[in-house]
Amino acid sequence: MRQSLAERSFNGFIYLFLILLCVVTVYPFLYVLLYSFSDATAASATQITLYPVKATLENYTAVFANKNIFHSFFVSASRTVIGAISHVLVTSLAAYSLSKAHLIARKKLLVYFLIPMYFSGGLLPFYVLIINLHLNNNFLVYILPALFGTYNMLLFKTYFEHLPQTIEEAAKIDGAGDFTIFTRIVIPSSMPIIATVLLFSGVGQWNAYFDAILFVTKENLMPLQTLLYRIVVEQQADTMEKIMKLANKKSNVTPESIKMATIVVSIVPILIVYPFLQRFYIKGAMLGAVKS
Amino acid sequence: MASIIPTERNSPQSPTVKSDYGKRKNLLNKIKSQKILLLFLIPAMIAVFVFNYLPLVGLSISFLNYQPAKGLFGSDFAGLEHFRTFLKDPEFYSALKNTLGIGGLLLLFGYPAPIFLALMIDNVRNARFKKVTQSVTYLPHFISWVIFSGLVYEMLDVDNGIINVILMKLGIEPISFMSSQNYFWTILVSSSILKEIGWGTILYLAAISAINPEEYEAASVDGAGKLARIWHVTIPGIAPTMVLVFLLSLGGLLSVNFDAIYNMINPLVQPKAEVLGYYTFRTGIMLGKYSYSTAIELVNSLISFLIVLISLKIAKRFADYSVI
Repeated sequence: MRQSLAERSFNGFIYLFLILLCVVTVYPFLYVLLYSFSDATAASATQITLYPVKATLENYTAVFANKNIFHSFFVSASRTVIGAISHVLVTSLAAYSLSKAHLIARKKLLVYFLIPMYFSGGLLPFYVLIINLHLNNNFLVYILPALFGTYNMLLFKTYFEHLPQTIEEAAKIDGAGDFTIFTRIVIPSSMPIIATVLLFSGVGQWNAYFDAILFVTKENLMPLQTLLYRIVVEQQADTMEKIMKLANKKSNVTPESIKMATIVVSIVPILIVYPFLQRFYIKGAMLGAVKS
Repeated sequence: MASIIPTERNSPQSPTVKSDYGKRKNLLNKIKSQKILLLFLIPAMIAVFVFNYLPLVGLSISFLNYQPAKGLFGSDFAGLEHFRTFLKDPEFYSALKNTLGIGGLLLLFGYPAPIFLALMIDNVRNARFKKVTQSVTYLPHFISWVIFSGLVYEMLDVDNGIINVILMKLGIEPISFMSSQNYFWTILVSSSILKEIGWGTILYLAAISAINPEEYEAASVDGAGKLARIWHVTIPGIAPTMVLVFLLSLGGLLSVNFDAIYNMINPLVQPKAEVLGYYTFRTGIMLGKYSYSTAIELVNSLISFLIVLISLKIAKRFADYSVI
């Protein structure tokens, strides 16, 4: 099919715009990456373009010499794994029951679970609640409030409702109870949605920083993102000083270069799971669309 | 509409009225047969009760002079005093203005941006280029605002930021973007758009892929060019999605992304950056005025709830309309 001049220039514009958008999106990440591998003093004096200036690993040595960062990485990983698994467990169990049309008082129960989606108490009452439950400075503050999610419950529920009922019915006739049916039949055939919600809540846990700002003062409970918040956003002098002190005296690190290296360290895990994220996340987002 | 058709509620009671005893026995049997299903619900019900319903009770703080040491029941009753105070507070109005301003700009620019991007991505014929564009533009969605704001600050840095490097090459004096109030709204809105634009296209691309290809062919036969096909086939095809997303984003008008503000704000831009969410955080948690800030949250929640309720009503009407 031959294209008119107008159509060709329209196509050209689209490609140009998309390339520009990709460059604008990627450049900041690239800049931080290059900076983190550059000699700090040299980097601050020039504009980094496509390769590091005076390539070095000094910044990373400084970052990893700091035990706090290692520990925070561990806290983040723990809350991600424990938080995501417990969220999937609690949310999918409830969703399974709610997906059964014959459940007693199903409508009333659904309303009970849906109300929080439309009306929330807000920050202050939540803050007061957590303090009164003595969950501050407690690892459980990362896990318990995130046990259940209405949106993910609806994703699970829709998925379960579309599973073929024949196998479940056959199992029932063979004498299997609801528990056996759920663990032996429903879970194995729901792996895509389980993976989706695991990733949804896992990314949420990995990126969460605010709960620790509100409720955690103990250093050994600080997740990586909160530590990053102190370094990147607050530019907290004492956190930075601690890191600098631990670095080799002769080395050239600056607060700026340490910031860059820490950012890279926190993005890498996301990049590693990114291919899976894309595959499952998109499915999840579309399921949500079908639902609404 | 429902009133035209006689509903079950209007119909006479079922003739076989069971005895109270029989009903209860029936219910007990039902509970027994569903005990596992009901057991499955218990952890979620407790979690929702504690972390979602108890804070609703906690909203009553706004009618007290709440003091943490005295607790909910020991604190003095204040009536509507805190509501009156915040309605007279100029800082509240400044926060309200910022909320509506930033929220309005996000609606005006942030809402249509993914639609345009989806239409563009859909017009790319090179499958590989399409995939790369999608992968790249989805990425910032997965990065926390802590890091993303760090990146934005780097790019806008007075000395080394790329924007100022370009400005200087063009012979323009470098601008200290993040310390000037004039730029904050623009910076916040454009970085929010950049972060979520790719992710926002997913729903639209799904809707576009559901359009029947024959419609495009028919339009081509009628002599429609590319733009005409987008206008007459693609856009009507995604219109229901467009309306739905619009109504959903209306609900967020009063709750401008707290994470974005919290990470982008600094003392120099605070007068232009403080939105209601940040204001209640600052007065409530940092200054300890629990009751005062809860009063604002209560009103905020009520208004947001009303907006959501109205948009849901409209959505329902529109969805019904689109089905016919």
